[in-house]
Amino acid sequence: MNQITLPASAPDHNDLRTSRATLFLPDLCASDAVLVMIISVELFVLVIMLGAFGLRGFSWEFLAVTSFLALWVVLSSAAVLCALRRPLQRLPVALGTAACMLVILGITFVFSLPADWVAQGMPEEGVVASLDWLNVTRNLLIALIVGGMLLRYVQVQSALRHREHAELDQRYRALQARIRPHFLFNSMNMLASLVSASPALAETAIEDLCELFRAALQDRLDTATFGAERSLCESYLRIEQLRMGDRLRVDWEGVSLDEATPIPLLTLQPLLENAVYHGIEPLTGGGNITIRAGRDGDVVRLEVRNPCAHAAVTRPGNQMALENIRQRLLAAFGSSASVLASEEEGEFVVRIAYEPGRAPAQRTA
Amino acid sequence: MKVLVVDDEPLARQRLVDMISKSDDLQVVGEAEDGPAAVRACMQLAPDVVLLDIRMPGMDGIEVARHLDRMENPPAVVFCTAFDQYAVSAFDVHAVGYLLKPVRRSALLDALASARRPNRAQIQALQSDISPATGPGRTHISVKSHRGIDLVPVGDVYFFMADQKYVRIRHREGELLTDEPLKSFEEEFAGHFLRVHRNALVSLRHLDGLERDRQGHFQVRFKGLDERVPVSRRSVAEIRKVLLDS
Repeated sequence: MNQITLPASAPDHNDLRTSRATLFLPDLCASDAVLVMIISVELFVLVIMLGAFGLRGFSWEFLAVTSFLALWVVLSSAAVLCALRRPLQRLPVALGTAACMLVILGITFVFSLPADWVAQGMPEEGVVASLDWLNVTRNLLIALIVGGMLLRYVQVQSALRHREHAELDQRYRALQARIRPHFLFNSMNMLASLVSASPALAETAIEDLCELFRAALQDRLDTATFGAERSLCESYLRIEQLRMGDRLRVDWEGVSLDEATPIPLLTLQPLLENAVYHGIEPLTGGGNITIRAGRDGDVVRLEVRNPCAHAAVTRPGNQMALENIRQRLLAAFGSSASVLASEEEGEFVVRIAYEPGRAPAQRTA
Repeated sequence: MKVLVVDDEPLARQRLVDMISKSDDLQVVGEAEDGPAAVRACMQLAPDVVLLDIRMPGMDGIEVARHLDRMENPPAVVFCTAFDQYAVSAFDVHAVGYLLKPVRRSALLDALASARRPNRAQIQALQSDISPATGPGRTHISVKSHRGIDLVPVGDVYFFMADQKYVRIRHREGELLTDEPLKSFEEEFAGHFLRVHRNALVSLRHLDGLERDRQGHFQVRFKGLDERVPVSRRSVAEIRKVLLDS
């Protein structure tokens, strides 16, 4: 009995899990990042100059002094943020952003002093240096605006990447489940048996298998409708039913959700697959899977229950599938989405809740 | 040739049965959908060959073969598997007959014609090659008796007690004697059974409490059982700990 667990899938899955609600910082110490920063700073300074003085008032001296200040500020900030990257990335986004901004502003302030001297000439000995506070404040303002914009850009980009990642991961996972050897060969074996015994059933089974493969092989997992997801689930369950006979009992009674409700494709189906694989298959007598789906005001609630076979909760494949579903719901419907798994009176229960909002459901091809 | 078909999936059995029935010299004497049923069917129907699915809930195919080995005249065995990386190479290495699902008719006939009874060493090797993922322990214990072999689910066993030549197995339905040594049970079911005395191994699941008899010796009692098992002084602390944790 070779129990196959789901693969470790996406390479930096851990990263994906921990960095979701926390700050993301790119690696600023990488050599190409440093080069990009230097070039960007020079271009930025040029833009400022051109904007302020035009070509007529172009001054190499101003360019040099401004570049000097900007490069020092940017490279020093990068070095400090790079050194603090680990602790910073553990912070929530808002707190982490504030910490980064504090670092950048501090460094800007420190470097504004020598830059000011350079611009005005070193103060003579014995003369107390007088700071041009307006200049310093201007520097701080520029640092605040540019730094804030960059941090925001990096966050948005990383969120987008996570979303694509989760989607890719789910398709990979779905495909992996379809070609999980026991599923594939047992299904083929079943078809071989049905072809002569019951051609009509064989036909349905082939159609169902195709639907499952099609969902897994799709280029993109757009938000589908609950009707489409339900049909996918029914295809999957029909196949398992043929294999397992009356050991598998499914109760759709508690499903009242409108067919047009938006839901990411492959949200409910992987839960049912987990329920069959971890909950029903190991039991000699089989068991019940109970599915509930309904609306509670603006909130859509889904629930899947199955008997708890030994240590079902701790199997790694299970947890990863749940985490993945959570990622995709968060990406599609925002922070109100939740996926919770628990063990209740000998049953393994997964509950999903999200607010589909008024976003119209896009039909998937 | 009498064939018994064992598989937990009804359609998989159906297919094998259909194929076998097409041959005049082959006869399906029965079908079984799980391990214990397969063992019982072997005793009642005395097939020549068993087509045995490996992956079944509860008792798997390899364990079935292990129990069949205790029969007076065990049947030959051909294992069936949909796919097992380990299994396929394990079968080749140990020269045991196997079929890959979906089974081809020609392969089935070949396998049945050359089917042999796997010996104890082969079964043991298969078990350690194929089953480590599910843990080494059997789900049942088989004991040779006048009826053939008796199967007892490990979960039904209250305790094992060594008694000179034999080990007495006290279970929910009664008791049995086996010639397997206590030591091997202790190793196989580590974590589920506890050695409480030189000659006694008790089930943690059924353990109910620790008490003293009239002479002041320690003994354990079980849920739903009158019999007590004496405990050595050394084990008392460990039993207390187990009882507290549960």
